[in-house]
Amino acid sequence: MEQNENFLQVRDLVVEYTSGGQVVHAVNGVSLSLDRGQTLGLVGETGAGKTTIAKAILDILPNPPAKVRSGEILVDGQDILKLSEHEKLKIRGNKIAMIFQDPMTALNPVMSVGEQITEAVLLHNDFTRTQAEARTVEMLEMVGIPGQRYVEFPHQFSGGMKQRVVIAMALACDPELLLADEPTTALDVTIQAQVLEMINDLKTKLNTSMILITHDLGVVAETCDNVAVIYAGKIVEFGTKRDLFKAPAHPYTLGLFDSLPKMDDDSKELHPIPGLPPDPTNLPRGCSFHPRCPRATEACSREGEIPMIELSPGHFCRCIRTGGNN
Amino acid sequence: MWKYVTRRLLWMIVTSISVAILIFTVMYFVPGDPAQMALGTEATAEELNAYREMLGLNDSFLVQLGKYLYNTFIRFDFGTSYAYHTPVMEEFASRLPRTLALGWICLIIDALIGIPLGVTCALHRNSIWDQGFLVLAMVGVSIPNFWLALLMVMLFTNKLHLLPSFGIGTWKHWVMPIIAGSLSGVAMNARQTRSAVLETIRADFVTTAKAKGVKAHDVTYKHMLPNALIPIVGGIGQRFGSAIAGTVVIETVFSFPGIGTYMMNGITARDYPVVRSCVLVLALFAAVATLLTDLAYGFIDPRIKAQYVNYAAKKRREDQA
Amino acid sequence: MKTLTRRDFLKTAAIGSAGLAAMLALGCSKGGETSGSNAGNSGNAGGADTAKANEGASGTAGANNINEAGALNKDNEAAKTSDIIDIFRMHQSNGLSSLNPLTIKNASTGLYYSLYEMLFQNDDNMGGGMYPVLCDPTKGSAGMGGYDHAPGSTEYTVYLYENITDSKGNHITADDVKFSFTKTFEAGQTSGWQDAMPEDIEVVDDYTLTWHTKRELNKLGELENIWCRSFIFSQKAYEESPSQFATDACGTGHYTLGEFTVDSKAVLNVREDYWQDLEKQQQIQLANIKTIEYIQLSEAAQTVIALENGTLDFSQDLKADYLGDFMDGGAFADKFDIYSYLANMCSVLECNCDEKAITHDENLRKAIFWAVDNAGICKMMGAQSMSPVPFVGTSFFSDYDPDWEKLDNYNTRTDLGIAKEFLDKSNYKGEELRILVNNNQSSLGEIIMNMLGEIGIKINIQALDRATMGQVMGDPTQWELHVNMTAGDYMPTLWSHNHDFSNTAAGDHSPNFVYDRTWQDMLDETATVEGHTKEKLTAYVEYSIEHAYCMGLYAQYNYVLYPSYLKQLCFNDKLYLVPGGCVFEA
Repeated sequence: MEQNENFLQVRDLVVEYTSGGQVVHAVNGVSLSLDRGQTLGLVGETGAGKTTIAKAILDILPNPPAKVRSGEILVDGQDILKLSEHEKLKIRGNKIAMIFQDPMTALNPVMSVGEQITEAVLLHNDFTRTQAEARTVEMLEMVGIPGQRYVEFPHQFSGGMKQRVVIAMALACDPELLLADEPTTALDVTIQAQVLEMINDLKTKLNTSMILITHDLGVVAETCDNVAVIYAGKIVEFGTKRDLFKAPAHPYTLGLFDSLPKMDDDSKELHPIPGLPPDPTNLPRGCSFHPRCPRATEACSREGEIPMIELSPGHFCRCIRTGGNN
Repeated sequence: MWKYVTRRLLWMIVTSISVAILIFTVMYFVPGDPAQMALGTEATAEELNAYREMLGLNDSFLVQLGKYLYNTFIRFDFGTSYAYHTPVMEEFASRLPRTLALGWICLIIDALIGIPLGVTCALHRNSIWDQGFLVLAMVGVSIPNFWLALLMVMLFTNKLHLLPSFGIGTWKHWVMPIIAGSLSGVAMNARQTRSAVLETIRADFVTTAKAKGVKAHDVTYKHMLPNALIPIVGGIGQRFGSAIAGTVVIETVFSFPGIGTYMMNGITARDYPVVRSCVLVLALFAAVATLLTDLAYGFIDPRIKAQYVNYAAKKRREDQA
Repeated sequence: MKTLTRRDFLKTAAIGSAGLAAMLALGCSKGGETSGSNAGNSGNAGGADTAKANEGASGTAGANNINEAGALNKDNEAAKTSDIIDIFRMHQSNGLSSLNPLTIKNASTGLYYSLYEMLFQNDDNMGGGMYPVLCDPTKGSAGMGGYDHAPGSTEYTVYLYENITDSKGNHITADDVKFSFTKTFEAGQTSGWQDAMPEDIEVVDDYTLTWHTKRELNKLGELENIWCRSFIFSQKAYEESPSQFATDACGTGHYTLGEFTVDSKAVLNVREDYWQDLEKQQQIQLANIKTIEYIQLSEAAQTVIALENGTLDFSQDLKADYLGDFMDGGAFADKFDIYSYLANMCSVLECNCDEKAITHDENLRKAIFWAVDNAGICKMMGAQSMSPVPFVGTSFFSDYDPDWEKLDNYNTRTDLGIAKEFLDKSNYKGEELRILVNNNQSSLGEIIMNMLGEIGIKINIQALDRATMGQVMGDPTQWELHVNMTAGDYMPTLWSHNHDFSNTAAGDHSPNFVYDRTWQDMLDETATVEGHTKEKLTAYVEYSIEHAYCMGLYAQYNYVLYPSYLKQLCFNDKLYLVPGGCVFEA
């Protein structure tokens, strides 16, 4: 367990969905890595493929439509995709845990919240029932929910509290990697702040690595160490938080920052990125962003993969019109 | 929760009395003379009158109604059948268990086979098994059970000499009636389960469970199924109540002396005590079945249970305010 | 969610249709054997190639395995030399609802006759005399012995055997006899007992009773109606019975009740300590079977299966449609024989003769009757098993006169020309006439409707169940025509069942609203012993036809299906089998 070696490494992941006879290219060759204790932010529009990457890591993609075409996902040196189902079960919830987007539906409505957490605890530890329940109460208290509420049902909690339960459930077994899929999108802003703070605290306390999926740059700013920007199933820019916020390079990233409303901007209109995300069954040739890109040239639409260019150490960009070509 | 149950039970009493009055009135006005049915077509008018007098049918409507209600609800005397000359209660005592056993065994088999079958089909949606099953389900629901019964009799009794074709006595007499009675129920249950489970398959909490590392089998039976159970339980509950009436055809084909044939014969013969009592018992069973189903809902889904409990609490608060 | 493509739809449709086609083919191949009755094909004889079984007389030799009248045993002594068989299983389509011997008016089984006995019994068809069973034929000199009656007096004295015991060992005395008659009367199902009430019975001594009647019982069948319509049982047994004989039995008969399941099964076992010596036993008292089982099966198809399977031995409730396998050429023809006879139930068409009714007009009635073709009805509804009748009555009855078939009237033939003549003379203006039929005979209603339609009479069919029909008939504004079934013991009782004025509450008109007193008087006369002559019966027939009061339609054949080791059948007077008295060859 050297500190230097990457804890999580994803190499050239390709995931496809087959739907109604057509192939949806959800993830098209994504590679990323993560160290222990670090947080990676995955930023992108809806449908860019972020959730798919996270679910692929846990291998809980819905199996008939989705298929991992190729790639490797190495956790602690082990390729998850090559494990047997039995071994994957041991990892899920245990080594790697996931927090989902919509807390209203993420919990089983007919089981008490305590029971749901205890289920996870019992699955991955050799506890007795009493010990597991004690652990559950501990986790509930840790997220700020009184232990007596063990027996209550999800419908008796508000949205924010439900999300806290989900977090407690995810962290109950001390996972080494936490996948958080837009954990605060469904919550209002004040609760959002609380939940983020809590996640951060826990993360620091337990030294958990985290992949935080979001489309909110503000959240990225608060919590992430590294950021990857995803567009049409590919990473188009990667770097530290500082890199990205100080010197965004890819036209898409620039567009994202531009579209944020600014307090001191007099104009009455927002500046969104023109156009729509591409049809995943029929991606554009060459650079997937070129139809919407203000800087696109003829070379961008040529057949072939646009390579990742390292602009500065650790800051990568998939664009042939940056890095000296301004 | 007990307040809820008590309230429902009290309502059941009211319902029973209303049903009794209703069926009494209906039978009173339905054309047809029980005396004529009992004495046959050769009887003269005086004989018919004398017979009617003996049965108490010449009293006024209110007097008869009053006597009937008093006998049924205070003395628990359901009367004596005009055709069978035995107290209705006695016949119930021997027939009701038979019909109920038949009905409930069919129900249990329906659930035991239908639900897992539906779950399996839902999980393997659109596979060859699933599609084959859908056709089979359509066939199962469409086949008239008496036709199936007769086919089975021809096969098992006539050709193979394995099973008796009528009557009651040993466990062998029950095999074919149960199969004939449960086939359509299995198909219906399986289909209902299948659609209910399909709805829950895509639910978020199922993904959560998978993400926790719960085994596939437990995901299905501990997480998906309890959520899918509400419509299924509803269907079973309703069939539970009508288990008595639903077996008439089976009973006729297999000459199975149960409540169904008792009631049918009673209706044709205008055997008032029999018809009234059967209808009352049917209504009671339906009411009990509804209550049990509602309680089952509360047991399965805590949100519904909260409604029951909250209702009582709300009423209390309103009363106090 | 996968979107359904046209291919998916076609695939499912193909599988579904293939399945349906397979099932239809299976169903048709099995069903094609039975000859259905086609109501509506006027030409077809609707039958298989079996010849018409009978022509009026009860049982001629048929090519169909159907036996001669000799199948009915009339020889006591022969029956006593029969082999004894162990078990005999009889089919009932209904009738096992109660074992109560007091309420047998509508009973469709001979079960009671094996468990209980009466003072006297009738020879079958009520044609012969009353022979003593519980009464001692060596005492008393009236009739066939067992009782005394001085002609002209109102006293009838019976003499019992002195050694009668029932299955629990109770000794039967005259007190028990009076008790039995009283209980039978109280059960309310007797008719015509008003002149011989049980309370007027005098117990002379332990084995002698005298009836003191209100007048001499000289009407046809009156005495039989009392002495052959009440079973005798011990007062003690009745009072000790937990269900008053509804579900248990204790009688003097040669059999005792084994198990009994209501509406399902009754088992009768031979009684070892039977009180009567073999030489003195009448045929219905014999026990040529050790165990008799009555099994109730309401479904005819099940009955056939059980017979073929060997779980049933006998049935007299099957219709012609189901007998295919047992007739000549059938798979089981060698195991079974069939005896057929024209039933005592006869179908009658009547018009509402009330003043205010349209059909009060005699010409209209005659038009209707001449247009309805009863032979045609039989052809359309089941030639094999039905026969037209020349008036209300069938050859079942001993006082049926075959000469009636030779008369020329609307019963014996149909003539649309004559019908139209009468219709023109009538004041029918095209109104719709309502006909009441039983709800399982709506096809009969349609046939009549078509026949009457040929001469332009419009009909509205109302199919009602028996109970409702009785009610509606009582209101003269509710119907114009109706079809009814009638039955009885003799012709006069048959006629009086439908036409007697005493059937209505007012007593001054018949159930079909005929107010003609002459007609009623003629009927009354035929019912007396002296008036029961061929001439008077024929006179009544002709009078009824002249005034178009009623029309006989058809009677059905009943079939008795019995195993070939049963050589001779023994029936009670209602033609239900009394199995113990049959002759067997093991």
